[in-house]
Amino acid sequence: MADSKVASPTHSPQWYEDSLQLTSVPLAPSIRSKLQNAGFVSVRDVKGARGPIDLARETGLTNAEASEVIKALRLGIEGTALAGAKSASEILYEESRKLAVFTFSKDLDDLLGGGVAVGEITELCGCPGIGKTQACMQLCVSVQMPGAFGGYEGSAVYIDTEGSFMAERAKEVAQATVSHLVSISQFLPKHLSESGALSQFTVNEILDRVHLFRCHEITELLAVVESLPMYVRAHGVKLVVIDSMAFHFRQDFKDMALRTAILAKMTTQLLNLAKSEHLAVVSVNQITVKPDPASGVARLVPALGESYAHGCTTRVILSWESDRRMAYLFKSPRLPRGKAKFTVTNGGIRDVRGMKRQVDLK
Amino acid sequence: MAAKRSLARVAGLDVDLLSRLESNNFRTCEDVLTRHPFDLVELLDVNLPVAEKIVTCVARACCPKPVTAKQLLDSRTDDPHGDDDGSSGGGGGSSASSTRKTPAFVRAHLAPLDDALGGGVPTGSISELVGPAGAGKTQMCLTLACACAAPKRCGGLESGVVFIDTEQRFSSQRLAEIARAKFPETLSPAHAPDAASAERELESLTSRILVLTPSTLSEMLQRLNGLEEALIDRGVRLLIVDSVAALARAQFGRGQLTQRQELLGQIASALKQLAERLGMAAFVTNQVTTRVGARVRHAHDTAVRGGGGDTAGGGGDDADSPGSVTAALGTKWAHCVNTRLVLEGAEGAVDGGEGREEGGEGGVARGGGGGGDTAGDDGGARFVARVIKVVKSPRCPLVGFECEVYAGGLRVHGDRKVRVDPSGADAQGGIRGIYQGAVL
Repeated sequence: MADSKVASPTHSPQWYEDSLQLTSVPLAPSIRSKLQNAGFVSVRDVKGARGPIDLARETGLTNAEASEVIKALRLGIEGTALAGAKSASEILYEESRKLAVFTFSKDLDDLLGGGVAVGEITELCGCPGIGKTQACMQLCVSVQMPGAFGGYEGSAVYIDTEGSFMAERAKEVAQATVSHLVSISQFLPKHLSESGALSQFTVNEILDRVHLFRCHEITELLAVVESLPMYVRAHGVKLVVIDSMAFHFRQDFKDMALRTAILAKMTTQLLNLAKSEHLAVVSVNQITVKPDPASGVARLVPALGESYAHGCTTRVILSWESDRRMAYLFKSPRLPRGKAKFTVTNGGIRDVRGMKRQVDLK
Repeated sequence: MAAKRSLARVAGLDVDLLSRLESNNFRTCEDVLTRHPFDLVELLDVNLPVAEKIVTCVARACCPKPVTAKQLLDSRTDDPHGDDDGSSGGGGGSSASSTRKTPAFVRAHLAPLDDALGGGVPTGSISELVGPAGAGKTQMCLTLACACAAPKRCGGLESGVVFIDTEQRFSSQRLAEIARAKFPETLSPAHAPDAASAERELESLTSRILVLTPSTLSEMLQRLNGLEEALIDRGVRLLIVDSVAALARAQFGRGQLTQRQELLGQIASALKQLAERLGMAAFVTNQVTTRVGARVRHAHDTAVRGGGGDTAGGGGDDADSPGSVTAALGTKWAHCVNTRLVLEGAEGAVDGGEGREEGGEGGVARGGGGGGDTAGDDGGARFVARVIKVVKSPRCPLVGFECEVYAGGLRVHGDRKVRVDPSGADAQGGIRGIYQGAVL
């Protein structure tokens, strides 16, 4: 492969490409073996070829196949080692402009650093009846709030695996939210209150923008996640709720290794989606009991296992503390652990004291 | 069943790809979707773009059609809710079935409870009734079956009911009695204007109720899976399982909890699918389980330990008090249930220990209610009111009512509300853990 060295373009450090063997690139085995038979071992060897025709001549691939190979090699490793890198200050700037999705409980929002964050997976775990589904419905409504009120004006996708979503209840939450915004709109500066921000924010409009996928089995859930990117772009979705992640995963699998693999795949897909489309992903998890052999005491832990626990960015555990609903921030890359009281009212998630949320007026 | 959908029925896959998939043992959509595209590249010997195209096509074929909440709301009607004062008259159900909309609820004809639940037992999801022995679970089931099968002119749905009776508790005599007492004008020969027609009505009512008696949990699952046709043909709007716990507890011992939970999950999944696709309500009953002693550290372990074992139960921080009771079958099952009702308290005329325990519960429930006029004290109370509570519902807040069992089944007193303590913290010896929280 002496001539390939000569032909190779001499720009930018490509040390990482040297080490990348063809075996670690997603190529069809038959094509890969042809390449290897012709002496192409690393990515650089292939890149050294002048072009697809050259490559095809040397390896016995068809021109179309050779062109595919070259495309496949570009995947993710094009450019320099620093491609796509950002400085922390750039990220800081981006993050400072990110809004969060309000939960409508001030305490809970504060705990979460302003609300459910965009670009992350936030997991809600909790015992049956604690209000996970309620929180999700609330978020579906509040993500649609007009920009004048600090909302996202986005649609919501609700992936329902348990059949808990109730349109009637969503309507109640939507009604309460609309009437709340109407009641505070008089305090808004004139240009905002008269801009007709609320004219689009009616109960029917809200319910029209909550897209519901009812998944009856794991395959359907996988299919939905697979098709989400297109759907999200088409409908301006800013919130994806999966209620719940656990239901199918806890009974459709005998092979735990497969379960872990699929969960990891799904989590990655969702995380990528959250980042690339700037949307918030909320996944609901169930809780399960884990016996502790040392003390003989059973502990209550979120379901789906330890490896899945790494998947979500933020994990919030909802639980009872005496009579109060309490949210514990269990894991977050940027916020301290803490807890906040919240309650579920007719109108949705609220503060315990019944305080009205202070809207930041500009 | 999307999982078993053959790849041959996936649009966008050409013959070449299909044969390649099949020769590599990819036969159903499930086989493809559980793999990463990189695996497909290796296994099928195709390019990455082709592998991704396969996944996209398969995903598109399997993806359930989204509906907006608005469409969902429009497709369901609250109609049975329309006239709720008439537990004996009116025609609420008739207009519901005349339109093509799916009613959102099956009315139980228990006015205050129906109102609290927003119209009745919700369709499309699983509702569960938990209660100790003798609390009136079967009575509630019979009442519901009766209300659902009742003729339209007395407010029923005149639809089919499937009653899966695992404990051999179904009594057709009692059913007939409830029907007569509940709808005397139409069904009781004594009250109806025409005795013969009342008999006929009663007969058609009872003929609409189909009773199945599976003897194992797996048999029940098989039957559920084969039930579709019958459910459609009979226009079934209500499926009752009385009770899930009995079979689960009989069939599986201590060592087989994993299998039990798996089977229960499959049953829950099957029930949900049937309920949602046929617009019917699934109503199951569950037993309670007792946890003696305080081997569990946290209050929340209770409900959970129930999942781990039937011996596990109430308890918690103050689990030292013996006889703390919780719903059986554990948290996994509790998560599967969409709406949970609790029926507690009973006439304490049963035998010693049990009656005592239940008396305790009832007494506490009353104490929680904050105003028991009959003062159901723990001590010597032989008669305590029954209480029915909504402890989990995506729709309505927690609420409890006093109720009683009479000739016409169950009767709920709307004026006597009982405060439901969400975490069950102050219910000393009451049914706890069912709704108890986790302190992690």
